[in-house]
Amino acid sequence: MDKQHYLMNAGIPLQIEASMPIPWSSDQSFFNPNSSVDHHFDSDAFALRHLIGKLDRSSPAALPSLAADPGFAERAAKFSCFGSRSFNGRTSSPPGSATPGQSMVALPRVASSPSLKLNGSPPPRNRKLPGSGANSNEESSVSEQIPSGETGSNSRKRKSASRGKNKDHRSNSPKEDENLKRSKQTENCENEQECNENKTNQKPPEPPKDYIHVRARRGQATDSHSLAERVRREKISERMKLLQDLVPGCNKVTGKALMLDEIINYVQSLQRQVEFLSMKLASVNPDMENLLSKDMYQQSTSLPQQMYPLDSSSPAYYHHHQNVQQQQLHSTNISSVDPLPLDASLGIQIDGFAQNLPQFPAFTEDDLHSIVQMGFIHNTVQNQTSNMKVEL
Amino acid sequence: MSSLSQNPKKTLSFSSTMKNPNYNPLKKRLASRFLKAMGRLKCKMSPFPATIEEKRRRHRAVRGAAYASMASAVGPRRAWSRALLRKMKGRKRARRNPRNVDERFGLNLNQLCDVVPGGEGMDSRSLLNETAHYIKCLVAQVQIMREILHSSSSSSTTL
Repeated sequence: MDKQHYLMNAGIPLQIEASMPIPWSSDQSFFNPNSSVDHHFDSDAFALRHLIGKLDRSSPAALPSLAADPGFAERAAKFSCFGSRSFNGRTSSPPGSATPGQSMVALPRVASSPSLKLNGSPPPRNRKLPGSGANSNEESSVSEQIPSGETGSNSRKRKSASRGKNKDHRSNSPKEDENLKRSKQTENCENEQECNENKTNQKPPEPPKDYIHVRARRGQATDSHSLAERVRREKISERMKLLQDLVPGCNKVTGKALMLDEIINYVQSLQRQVEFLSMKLASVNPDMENLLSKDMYQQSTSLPQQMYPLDSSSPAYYHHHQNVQQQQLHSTNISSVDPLPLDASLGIQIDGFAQNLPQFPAFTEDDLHSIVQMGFIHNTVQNQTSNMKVEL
Repeated sequence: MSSLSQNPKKTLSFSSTMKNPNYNPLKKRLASRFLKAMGRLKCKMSPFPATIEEKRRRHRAVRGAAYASMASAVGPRRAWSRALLRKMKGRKRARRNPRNVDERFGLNLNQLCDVVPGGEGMDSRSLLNETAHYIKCLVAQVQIMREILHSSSSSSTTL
C-alpha cells in the first residue's frame, strides 16, 4: 500500500488493488514511537519491500524508480514514525493511536493535505497528480483526509467531489512545477502515513488519495490548517515577487498592501498612457504614408531610453499631452496652420489625398512593421527575461 | 509577417502556458495586429476630423483597436484577454462568479480586479498571474504606440 501512494505521488498511474488491504490493527506497529525508533525500521522496511514486490508484479511498468531506491524502504519506515504524531493529532479515529504522538515533540511534524483522487484516470491526468496535489492545500478540511474505517466510503466520496473541483480550478503548469518540487522534497514523508490512512479506505475498490506534505518549520504553527495556509501564502508571495520585478520602483516598497497599491497605480497609469497615445495616434493618423526606414532607424535608437523608467516617462507624458493640446487647438481653429506640415500640404490636395487612401494599408503596414522591428532590436533583449518569467 | 504571427497560435492548441506561443514573441504579435487594425481604421477615417465629435470617435476607435489587438494577440489563453474579447464582441454573458476575491488576505485585490479586465471571478493567486501578464502586454502595447507616434511625427517633420 505504501508503494502505491509513493508511486502516485511520483505521478505514476497505479491502480490500487482491493486485494491488498492490510488490516488496521497491524498499523499499530507503525504508530508506536514508545519503542525505539530503530526497532521498527526493519519490520517496516521488510513490509515495505514486500509491498514493493507485490506492486512490482501488479504493475510492472510503474516501479523502476521505486525498485531502484534501496534506501526508500528505510526512509519510509522512518517517516512513518515521524509522521504518526501529526496523523494522530489530527484525527481521533484510529483507535489506540491517539497517545503515542505526544512523545515525539522534538520531531518536526508533517502535515498532509489531500491532493488528488486517482480514479484510474488517463495518464495525462495522473501525471498532473503531484502538481495538483498542493492545490488542494486550499482546503482547510484536514479532518477529511483521514477518515475512519467506518466512514471511509462516505468521506472518500466527499473528498473526490472536492478534489474534482480542485482539479478543475488548478490546472496551471506553473503550479505544477512548484508542487512537483515540493512533493519531491516531501515524498518520503508521505508514503507511510498515507498508506496507513488509506488502508482503511481500501475496502471499496477506489484508488486512494494523494497527499502533498509540507514540512513545518521549527517555531511555527504546525497545524495542518496553518501549514496549508502558509503554503498558499508562499505561493502568493512568489507571485508578488514576480510583479515586483515587472513594476518599476517597487523594490523599495515592502509589504503586500503597499505593493498592491503600487501595482494598481502602475496598471492605471499604463491604461492612461494607452488612452493618451491612442488619442495622439488618432490625431496624427493620416501622416503615416511617407515613413522612411532610415528615419525610423534613427528614431529607434533614441526610443528605448524613454520607455523604461516610469519616472522619466511621466514628464514625457505631460510633455506629449501639452503638444497634443496645442495641436488640437491649432487644427480646430485654423486648419491650414497646422504644426504638421504634411497635413497642410495634403489638405490642399484633397483629391490627391483621396487617391492616396487606398494605398495606406500597403504603405503603413510595411513601413510601420519596419519601424517597430527597429525599435524591437533594443527592447526585446531586455524584455526577454520578463517575458519568460511572466508567461510561465 | 502577419501570416507568421497568426499561424503559430492556431497550430499550438495543445500548448501549455510555456513558450509555445512565443515562436513569434509577444511584442511582434502585438505590433502586427495593432498595425493591421490601424491600417483598417485609416481607410475608414476621414483625413481631417473637423468636429470634436469625430475626433472623439477616432480616438475611441484607436483605443478600441489597441485593446482589441492586444487581446487577440494574446488569444484566449489568459482570463483578461478573454474578458476583453468578450467585451469587444459585445457578449455580456460572462460567467459572473460572485466569489469574493481575497478570502484570506484582506488586501486591495478588489481594486485590482476592477482594474484588470476579467478579474471578478478569480482567486488571489490567479489574479496576480493575470495582472502580471496584463502589465507586460500593456507595457508592450504602450511602447509600440509610442514608437509609431515618434516615427510618424519624425518622418513628418523631415518632409
